[in-house]
Amino acid sequence: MKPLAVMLGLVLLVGCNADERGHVVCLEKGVYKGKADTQISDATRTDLRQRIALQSEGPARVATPPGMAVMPSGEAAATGRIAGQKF
Amino acid sequence: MARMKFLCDAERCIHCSGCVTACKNEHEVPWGINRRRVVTLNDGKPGQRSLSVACMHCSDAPCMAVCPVDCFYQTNDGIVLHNKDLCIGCGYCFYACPFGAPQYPSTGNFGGRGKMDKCTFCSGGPEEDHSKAELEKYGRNRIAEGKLPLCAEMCATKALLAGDGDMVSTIYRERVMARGFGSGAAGWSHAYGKKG
Amino acid sequence: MLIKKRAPLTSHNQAANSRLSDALSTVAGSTVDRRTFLKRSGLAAGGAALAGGLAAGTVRKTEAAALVSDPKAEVKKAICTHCSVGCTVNAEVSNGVWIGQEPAFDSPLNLGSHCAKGAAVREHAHGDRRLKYPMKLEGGKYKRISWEQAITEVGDRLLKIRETSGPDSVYWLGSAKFSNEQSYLMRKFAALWGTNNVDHQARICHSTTVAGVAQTWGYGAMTNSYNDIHNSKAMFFIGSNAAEAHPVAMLHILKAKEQNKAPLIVCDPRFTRTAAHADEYVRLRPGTDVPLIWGILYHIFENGWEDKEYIRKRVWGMDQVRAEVAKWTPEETERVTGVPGAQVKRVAELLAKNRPGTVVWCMGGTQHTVGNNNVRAYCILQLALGNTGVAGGGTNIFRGHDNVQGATDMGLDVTTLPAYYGLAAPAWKHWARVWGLDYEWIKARFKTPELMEAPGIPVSRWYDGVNEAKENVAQPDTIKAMIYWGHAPNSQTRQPELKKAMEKLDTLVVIDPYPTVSAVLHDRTDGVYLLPAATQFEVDGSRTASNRSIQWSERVIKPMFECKADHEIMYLFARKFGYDAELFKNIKVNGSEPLVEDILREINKGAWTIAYTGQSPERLKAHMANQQTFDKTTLRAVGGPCDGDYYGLPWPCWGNADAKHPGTPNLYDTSKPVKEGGLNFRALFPEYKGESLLAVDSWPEGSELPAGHPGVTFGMLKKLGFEADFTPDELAVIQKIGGEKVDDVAWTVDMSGGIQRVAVKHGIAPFGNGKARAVVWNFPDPVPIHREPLYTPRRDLVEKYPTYADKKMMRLPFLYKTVQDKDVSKEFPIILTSGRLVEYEGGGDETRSNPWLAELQPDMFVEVNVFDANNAGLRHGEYCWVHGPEGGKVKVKAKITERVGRGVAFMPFHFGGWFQGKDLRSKYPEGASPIVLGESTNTAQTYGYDAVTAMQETKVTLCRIEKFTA
Repeated sequence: MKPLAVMLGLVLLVGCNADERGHVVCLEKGVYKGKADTQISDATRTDLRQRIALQSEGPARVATPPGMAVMPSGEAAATGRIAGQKF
Repeated sequence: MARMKFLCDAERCIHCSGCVTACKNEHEVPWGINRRRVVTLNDGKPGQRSLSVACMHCSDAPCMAVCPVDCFYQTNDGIVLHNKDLCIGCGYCFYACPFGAPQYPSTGNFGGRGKMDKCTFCSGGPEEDHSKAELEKYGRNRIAEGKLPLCAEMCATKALLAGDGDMVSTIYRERVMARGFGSGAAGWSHAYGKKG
Repeated sequence: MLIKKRAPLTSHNQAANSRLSDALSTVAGSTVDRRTFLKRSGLAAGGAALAGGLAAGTVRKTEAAALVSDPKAEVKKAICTHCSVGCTVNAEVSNGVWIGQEPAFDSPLNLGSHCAKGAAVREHAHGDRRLKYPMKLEGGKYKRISWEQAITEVGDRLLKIRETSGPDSVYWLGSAKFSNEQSYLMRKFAALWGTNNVDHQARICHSTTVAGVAQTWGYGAMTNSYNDIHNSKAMFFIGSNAAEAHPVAMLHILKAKEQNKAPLIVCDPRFTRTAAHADEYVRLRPGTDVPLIWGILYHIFENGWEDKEYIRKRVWGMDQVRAEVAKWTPEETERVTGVPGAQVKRVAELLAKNRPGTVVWCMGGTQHTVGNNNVRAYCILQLALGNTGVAGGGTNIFRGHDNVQGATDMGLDVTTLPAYYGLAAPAWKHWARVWGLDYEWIKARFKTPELMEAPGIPVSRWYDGVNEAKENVAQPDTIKAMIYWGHAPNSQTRQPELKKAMEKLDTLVVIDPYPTVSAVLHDRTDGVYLLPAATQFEVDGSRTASNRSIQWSERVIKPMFECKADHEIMYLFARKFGYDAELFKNIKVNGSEPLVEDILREINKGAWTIAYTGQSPERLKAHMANQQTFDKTTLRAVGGPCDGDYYGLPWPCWGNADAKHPGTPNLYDTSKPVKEGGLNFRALFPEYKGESLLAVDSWPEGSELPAGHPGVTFGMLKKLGFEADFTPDELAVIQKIGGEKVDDVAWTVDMSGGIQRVAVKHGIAPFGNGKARAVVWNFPDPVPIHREPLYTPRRDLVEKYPTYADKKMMRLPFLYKTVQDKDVSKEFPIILTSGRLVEYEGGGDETRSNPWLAELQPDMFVEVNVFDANNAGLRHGEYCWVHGPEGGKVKVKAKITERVGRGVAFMPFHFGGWFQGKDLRSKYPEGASPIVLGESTNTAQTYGYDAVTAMQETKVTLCRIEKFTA
């Protein structure tokens, strides 16, 4: 009897599809509760903005990097710009 | 903020299906599943136009809204992805999707019987980047490598564009200006609304 | 799981095994190499189901492991093996496994783009449906044999035939899928076997172009390039469906359309996917190309839109054309072609007012009984407009296969030796010198000296060479053995006749990566051998794109299974036949694999006529490595190691590699010096009936011989005072070749390259400076004229526009009038034409075996107009019978569409594996049948051959379409 129960238990366990395990069982409507995905870095994002130029036959455009959304004022000389230059 | 978008230029698309096989090739998509396909309108008649269609990664994605188990999420770049561990294969998203993007294998593929499968914008899914698990369930992750979707990168006539929405618009706008006409960015308002 | 789902028809997945073995070798530290593993697993598996079932669990994971991006993956640059655009394929290879395909953005030809076929070439690395081992048909079943047994048995059988019937009874059918080196080697191989019965697909795709265009102005090739279309102000397509046949060409075409506002005019009986992008779609009745072109020229002449100066300087015979054109009034043109008169006039005006314009044609123009007339009419249109020899103009003839241009250039042809030297004694003597062989020895290899100089039987009719009575075939005996070396039989018309011939043969040999329809079409039970060949992704070699650019394609993976490279198989046979020492005299052989670079060097040593002489392996490899330095419109390198060269050194690339000629991007372009890629028309015939055919007041920029002149000889250069320019080495070679007649040594035979070098140095085109010939007096119709097809529904036009009288050529009788005289138009009222689909290529054995492609086109079909379909009671998507007038019939699905006009039906030509309603899948070797099978349109296609080249007529015949009944 005992071995039979063990076997039955095993059969039941085997019946559980590996893919079905680890399901989220607690739902909160409208909220994703699965595993978090890695987000891409800003550097990759910049690369991707450049790379799309390959999909056009024109010359590669220079995309404005995300960190440069505001144009430097022209006052700063640290990056090599001409001091005092105004646009 | 800019987000990832697809655009198919109907003036350029020649229905060569390069995008379809590029997708199959990159992700080893099994027989019977078509993450991307080409449709032709007015076939054989004047006014015939073709369009390459896949998941558009909508701004307000209807699939996300209807999913009973909330298996969808959107990345910071606007890519709509889903978690196959959560998906129950109910098919609601298929009915909600205006582009007919969700696919369902009839037998075990991509992580189990009946799990929905769709275009990932070549960006894998909720598993470690470039891991075996990611590859098995969702396919390759080009975005993490700094590459854009292969369908667009290999498009025979550069009709299909994929990438940062602003850049896509710029390329398309320049092209329309050069040729003086455009038949519109099919599906854009549907997918991206005014939010862009 | 990233494993391909087993389609019902799929056998066990060899690719999975290849990746499995790869993974195992690293995981377990085992040293089993991939090929050994494949062999073992193939043996151990026994049955498809067993392998699939047992392996599944493991395979899923290990397969995926091999697919994970490998940052250390090597990128190999190969060339796509489908059409002639020449797209670069960037293949990622990790541990000998082809794991990924990246866009080749650097390629100036495809800029990263691919069509469905190009984007799916990595499927090669799976090779599920490949022919895996040598096989032999025994008792109606294919059995695996060893390579050794295969070479011995096939060799013995062929030697016996050579003994009893003569060398001409073995037909060596080569392939446009060969590299240049393999094509050249095979032509030489056949020559040393002792026959001119050696041909390839060009016979049935562009032979009329090659002959007609070469006779018009010099070289039978695309004059400009795909990229040069960027400069076009108008584009005139006739019989070309680029959107399906050359999809990546559309990248360049649409650019011209968008940026130059160049009108795109598409003339085709079908409203094709190319026509869908046209500004002007001209629907003509199939087989009426000459009337349409003359109808257009009618308006050009009427309005004085022709380029009179250009014609005066560079064209001969236009007046005779003018007289013929005058007959094609708008009314007559409309009556014959069906094109409205107003549209013809509009097209003429578009072409006249948007110059330079380019003319593009493909098999819609060439595959006719009057194919040579059609192509010459297209050329004349461009000559009248002054459009040839200018950027943005020219005749951009899109070739079909990836290396059909190269294989043609390498003389894989029944009418010539490599590089169009012909078959006369001087040609043989030239090549004997190049090969380092005794001319008399080669001559003795042939049955008779006459046969050595007589064109062979064209591939379009090889089966008539079997079926005809011996006395009707102008060679010692009929064909007894057929070697199908990279050719699909289902691309040939009259399949029932072909089947009969296959059954009558003594020996049928198929050498191919796939079993092909040749394995199953016939009902033989023995005498058939299948030998597995490597694909071009498994070998190194150069291939020539349609624009004459030669690209070096790097080997991506080692040959799979037991496949061998074609040049290695040639070596094995040559050794068996006992002439390997002669065949490889100048070529190093590693083990049994000849060195590809050495073969190219030998080509460079001999192919002076088309100047395939400056393209050394080193230069070609440098171009591939520096693709990014070439301009994407001019194709010229700007800076970098190839500075000034044109991409792929498009032939003619004058002189030897040391002369550093940049190649010729646009043929006959006088605006550039010859040494910068400029040229003029070739002086093929300096005079005719006392009248000079040399150019008048026209020469390439900077020429020191500013006049028309014949082809250059040593004597001529001497007279011009250039003798001092020759080096002592060059002089010695010229002296040796010329002997007492040293002054007669011409630019075509000077193996030192000195004559070409010196001529080009002084700005002189080595091949002379002549006028283009609008009248080709040595052809059946000197001025192209209209002749109704053999099977025409317009019986009312037969009397006025009859076909040719029956005749004999190329060792066989050719029927014309006899066929046309029989009126079958009542029983077979619909015109039948054929063409390409984007997903498949050629006979389709390879592409239909690729699941990524096969899934997109699962059924063979016929396109029928709604009107005709309803009259016949057909339903969309249901089977119907298409009956041909010679008794062939095919069971295909009806596709009811407006794409074809009333009275016209279309079938694609890529299908095979069904015959007159019968599915032949069970006859394929186990696990090697293509995923998709279907009827070949050519089962219903009929008799008809071009009067010059024996091109088969596939674009106009008649048929009857009926509801399907079992």
